[in-house]
Amino acid sequence: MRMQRRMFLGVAGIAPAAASTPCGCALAPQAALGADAFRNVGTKIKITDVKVFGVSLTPDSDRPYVFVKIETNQPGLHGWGEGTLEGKAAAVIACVHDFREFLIGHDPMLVEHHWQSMYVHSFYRAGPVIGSAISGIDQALWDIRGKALGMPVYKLLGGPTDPRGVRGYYHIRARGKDDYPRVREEARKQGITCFKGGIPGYYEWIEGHAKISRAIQSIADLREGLGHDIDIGIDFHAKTSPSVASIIVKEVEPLNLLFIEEPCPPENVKAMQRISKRSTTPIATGERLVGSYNCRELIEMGVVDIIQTDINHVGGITALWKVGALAEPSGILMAPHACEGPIGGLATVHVDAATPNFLVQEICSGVTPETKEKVWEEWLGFPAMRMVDGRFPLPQKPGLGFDLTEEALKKYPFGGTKPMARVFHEDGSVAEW
Amino acid sequence: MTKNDTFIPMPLAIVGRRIRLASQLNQARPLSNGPASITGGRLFSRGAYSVVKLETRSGLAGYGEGVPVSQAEFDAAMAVVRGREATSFEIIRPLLAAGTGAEAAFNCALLDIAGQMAKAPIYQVLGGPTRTKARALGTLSGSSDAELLNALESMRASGYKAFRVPCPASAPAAVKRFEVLRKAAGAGVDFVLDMGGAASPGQASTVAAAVERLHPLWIDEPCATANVRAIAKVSDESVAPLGFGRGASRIVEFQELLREQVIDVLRPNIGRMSISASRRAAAVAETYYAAVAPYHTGGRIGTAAALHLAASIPNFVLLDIPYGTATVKDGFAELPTKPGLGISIDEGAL
Repeated sequence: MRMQRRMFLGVAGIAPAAASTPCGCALAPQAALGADAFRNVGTKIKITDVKVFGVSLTPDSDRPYVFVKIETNQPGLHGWGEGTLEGKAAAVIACVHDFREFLIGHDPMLVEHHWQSMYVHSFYRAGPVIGSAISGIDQALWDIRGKALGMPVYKLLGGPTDPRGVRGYYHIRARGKDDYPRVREEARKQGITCFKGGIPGYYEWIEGHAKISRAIQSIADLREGLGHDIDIGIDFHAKTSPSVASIIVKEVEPLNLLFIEEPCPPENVKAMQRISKRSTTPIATGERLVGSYNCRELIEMGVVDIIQTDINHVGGITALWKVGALAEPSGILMAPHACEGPIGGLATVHVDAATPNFLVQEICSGVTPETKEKVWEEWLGFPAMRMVDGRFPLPQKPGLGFDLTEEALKKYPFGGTKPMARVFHEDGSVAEW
Repeated sequence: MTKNDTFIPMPLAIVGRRIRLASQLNQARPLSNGPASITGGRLFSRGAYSVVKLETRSGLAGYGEGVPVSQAEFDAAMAVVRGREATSFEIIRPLLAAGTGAEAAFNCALLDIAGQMAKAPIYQVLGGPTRTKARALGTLSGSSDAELLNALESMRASGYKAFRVPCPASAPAAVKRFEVLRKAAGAGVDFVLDMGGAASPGQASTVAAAVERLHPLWIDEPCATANVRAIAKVSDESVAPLGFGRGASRIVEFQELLREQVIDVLRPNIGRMSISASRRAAAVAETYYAAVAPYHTGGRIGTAAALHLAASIPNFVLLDIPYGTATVKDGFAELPTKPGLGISIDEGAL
């Protein structure tokens, strides 16, 4: 099948050099590229291995971490990246393997070149699986770049905005509204200035008075419980249709939320625009988008106020930086999503620190550290993605600023891909969660 | 740390959509004054362009070039960079006067230092190289066909294979000139038709339609860009690619042209829009599948800066290389390979 396809496309110059006819013109194409083509402008560093690890903190985890390790011919020089894709770990692991031959024997410093090659030469424009595989590889290449050039990645990106770190938010993680005062008190002690919550239950295409009122009340309770000096984002998680979301988003305007996130599913920009233009509440979206290309229409049509692309899916450091650059001239802010492992979390902090239109950084943790954060500390040797005075501190060492051994991951073997939550309405029809 | 020097005020004032940008709050932030921080600088002006030299506490020096910078502009930019880390070039960029020689020169000098700190060419700091060499665009000057043909001959002998030529605003004259040049150059040589922004959209559209089947690489500045909607006429009535932006000061000007679907080739002036700003404009252009061809009419430092830009973006196509500012061979310029800008600079000559 592959051979047939190549023969078919050969005249278009997609196949190796033999099929390309020189036109003698100024813009002549080159069909094949030798491994040493960049020898004069690259470095002597070569990629020797691309390893990928599925890491399940619990055997039944539906979101095992996918960590990528790229090794080089230079003693001790390797890079780590993360391509965790919830519910699809094995697919990303397979996709990273598919990219091995793009990388082995090549110079890891050519990060933009490798990014383009992985994205463009995949032919099918990347969805979340390819996007997450590219993300893991891209982060590992940046980690190597930083180490080779002797600088933390945020400096290579032209930062930091603030040497003390980047502003972050935790998830509310409260046991009902009676628990909000405790969260508020803990937040004040830790200097936390922002939280994110959700809306209860699942929503049909059109909803009635009781469920809509409950959603609005839950947001009002959160504002009342946390007070007016803490910023609040509310994640609708695309559980609502544009029809239902519009009602809630409009009625919570007086609560001055920092943003409403994913008020409807992300494929249809005009549907989200309908919600956005009916309210002054800022709209945030983007965690499921891959590549800067898929953010263009949202930005151009003025649909969103805040973009939340995820460094583990969008295409790594390279792509997250570009989304920021794309959003900046439109005055759109960046609040990247981060709900996976510590490597992607730390990588995104580097990009945030060099993003002039950065607003706030997520981590899916609460004010009180959880089990997973103890594991992260055990792996990396410091409390990764825990805020100090409301900010994520910037790693100071070259590259992404941590080291991790393969040995440390062995305690958490890959448990395979497990499906994410599956929820249904009362009549058995499929519900968004 | 006391609560008084908190970077983002608590509570952050959020009312509706009025959110304060991190960059708007930068001025209040403490400076670094570390080894990589800028301690001094010097301005060299030589008519057509200016060169800025910046120095760090650790003793490194970086150079950058831009369209002429006045002493007052230089002093204002020095006040911005003094005490800041050379590597914080993206944070410094929005604090410089956009689209000025100072923005271009200071950004380049900071990147020169960052590259020296990393012991790598600037394009490697910026994620490149994306290519092994960069396609060069030469300029043919002259007002008659004979003068242009002379220039063509000598520039071809110097290694150029693509040329920017002045293009008359009348369609028959434009076609005639293009045919004369094409015939003399033969296959394998390409042309950018430079209309210099002087024609009206109506004239430009007539010229573009007349030359489109002769396949120029693009038409450069076919008309003024003040009215983006008016230039849609040129793009609608012809398929000749259009290049705009030599006079642009801000990334948003390119964004507007891209949104209106009237631009094929972004022409950021490397002496006006910095490497960093041009690179960000290239990131915007990439999502519209549009090309970047840095515009440059100054000296060697500007050419080197444009080469580093070309080698750090995926959607580069050609760059202006003024004669004598870099070696051009078989249509391409080599990329610098030494740390920072990677060219030797003789201050005496400045």
